[in-house]
Amino acid sequence: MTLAQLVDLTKTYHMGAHVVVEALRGVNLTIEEGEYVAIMGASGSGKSTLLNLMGCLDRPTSGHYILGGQDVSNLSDAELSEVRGRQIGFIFQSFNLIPQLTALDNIEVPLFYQGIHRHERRRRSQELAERVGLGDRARHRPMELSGGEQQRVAIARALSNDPLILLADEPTGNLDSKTGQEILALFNDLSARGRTLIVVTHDPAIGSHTHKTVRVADGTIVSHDGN
Amino acid sequence: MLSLRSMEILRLGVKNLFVHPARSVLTMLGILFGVTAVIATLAVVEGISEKMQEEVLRMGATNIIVEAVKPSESESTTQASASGVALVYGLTYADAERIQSSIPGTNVVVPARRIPTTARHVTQRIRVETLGTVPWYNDTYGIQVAGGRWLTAMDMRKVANVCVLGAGVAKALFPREEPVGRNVWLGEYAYHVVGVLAARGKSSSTGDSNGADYDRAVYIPLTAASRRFGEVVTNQSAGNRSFEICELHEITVKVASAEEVRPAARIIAGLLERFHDPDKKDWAVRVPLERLEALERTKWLFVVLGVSIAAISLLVGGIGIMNIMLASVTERTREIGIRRAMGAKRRDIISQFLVETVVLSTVGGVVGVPVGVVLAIVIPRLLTKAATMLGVGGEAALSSLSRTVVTPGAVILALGTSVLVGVVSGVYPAYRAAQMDPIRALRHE
Repeated sequence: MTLAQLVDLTKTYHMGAHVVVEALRGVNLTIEEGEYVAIMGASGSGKSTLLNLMGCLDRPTSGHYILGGQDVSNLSDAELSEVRGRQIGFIFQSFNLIPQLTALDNIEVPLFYQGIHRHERRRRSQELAERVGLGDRARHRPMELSGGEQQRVAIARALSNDPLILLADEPTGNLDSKTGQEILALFNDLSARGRTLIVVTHDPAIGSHTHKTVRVADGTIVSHDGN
Repeated sequence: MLSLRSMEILRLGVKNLFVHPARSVLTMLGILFGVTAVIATLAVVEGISEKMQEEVLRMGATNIIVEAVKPSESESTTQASASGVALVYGLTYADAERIQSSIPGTNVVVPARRIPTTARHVTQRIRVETLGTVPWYNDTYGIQVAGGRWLTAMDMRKVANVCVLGAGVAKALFPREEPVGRNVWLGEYAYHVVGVLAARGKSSSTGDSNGADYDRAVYIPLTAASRRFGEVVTNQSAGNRSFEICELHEITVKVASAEEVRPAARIIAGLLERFHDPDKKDWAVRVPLERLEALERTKWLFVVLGVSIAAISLLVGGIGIMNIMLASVTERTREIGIRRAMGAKRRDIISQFLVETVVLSTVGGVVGVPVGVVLAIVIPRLLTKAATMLGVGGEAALSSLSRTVVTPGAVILALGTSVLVGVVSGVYPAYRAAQMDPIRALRHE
């Protein structure tokens, strides 16, 4: 079943009065349910823009993005927020945890905006903390956690609202290789359980784990190989 | 569901305020002081106004007071000394009769003579104002008799040498005795004391030379005053001797209701204008009701003035909150990006920051109210203490500050304003936070 479909997607930025940057020029991509996809490309290739569009953080200049059967290319800011909250799970290179919140509180942030009751939130966050292997570190603040632990919190947070797609942006970029391997093992595990994962990276090691690798250059997809 | 969500947002806001407790408390202080100032200022104004209102009401809201006005000093002395005759001015018995007969619905007309004299009892002596008046004077002014009785119609008819002492006079002349039943010398005659008044205090309107000092007065029947003191009053000062003739110093007219006060006052003024020398305006009509209304207007002026000053400190407090919130929004840019990515709508971000400012300012207000109330209680004591330490008399100023009144309206106004300040100062920072581009906010270092 097709989860996400990008049709002739373009994105143009206007920097100042005369400078026009064409970050994406007609991207076509289909993501099937349960797929584990790596998006690779040099910096400036447009892969970040692609990720922002797929994460509904931004709207395309033209073309269509169909997510879970709904065309989300022209939604309002509030509607896009709703889609992000329900269907997207973000994992960032720099973890992006809220420093004053504990690990459990951080995991609950997406649930907070879904209007889920405090007790239910706590039940789910504890379960997820357990699942990503945080154990007794769950009541600590990000400052007191190692990079690997922080990324586990971020993964638990991305899973908390049970999204259609997990979007990871260089998830191992800030980690040493051993910890990076552990995180990738966690990804493999999630993929094996049927999660749809899209990882933006330029780490070729990740590419060897994924079902398919999409290479982006100059705002278009240059190759599209299944592993 | 909605209230559950607002509870959650409130909890989140309070939690965030506790992240920087010192900063939150300092920010709150601005509002706290503003609210304290509002409460204290309004309490002082309200206290003064209440005191002055009592003063006016003591003169009677349905009374019209017609007073004899002595022509100005230079005029009177030149006239009197040049001609060598007594100065004739003031109201007459004929005026009283005319007023009585021409005003419909007039209940009571109270004529009175004021004669400055020395009252004596054995070795005690005191300067007093002898008031020759009628038995219904006390009802008109609501004077309370503490001991003995008030003047009666019989006293009037018999031209009896009886007197009722003001509380201050009684205390000065009879420090250790019961005055009722004793005799007091007023001028050349002895008067039998039949009653003593309850202490009423001095009229606080000190600027008013005619303001009655009830405690320093001795009341005798009007008939006795006319017969024993005559029409001529001798003033002796610094070797100068001047004579003046004034039949009546005061005529109080009591009408049935407040609506009749104004028309009646106009008629009285018309009457007096007709029968008195137009070149020598020797009378004045005072209407306590008008003073009450003037007082009300003056009070509002003070309220506006006081509240404006307090509003400035609230404004400064609000600017403080806005300043801190703008800094906080910048500092938390990344958090805003994260929350937006996790599904927070602009609305959610706005309410998150707005809740913080409103909680800050409301708590400041809630704490400021009791502080203001305490200040309102302490102000009169502090001022009295300061005045005694400095040896400043300023009795009048002190007595008008001796009472402060905190009204529920003042508390509601202060609290309402503090909440409003929170909303107003929070709107712009919250809007800035909500307008941030989530992508850029996420990359913010």
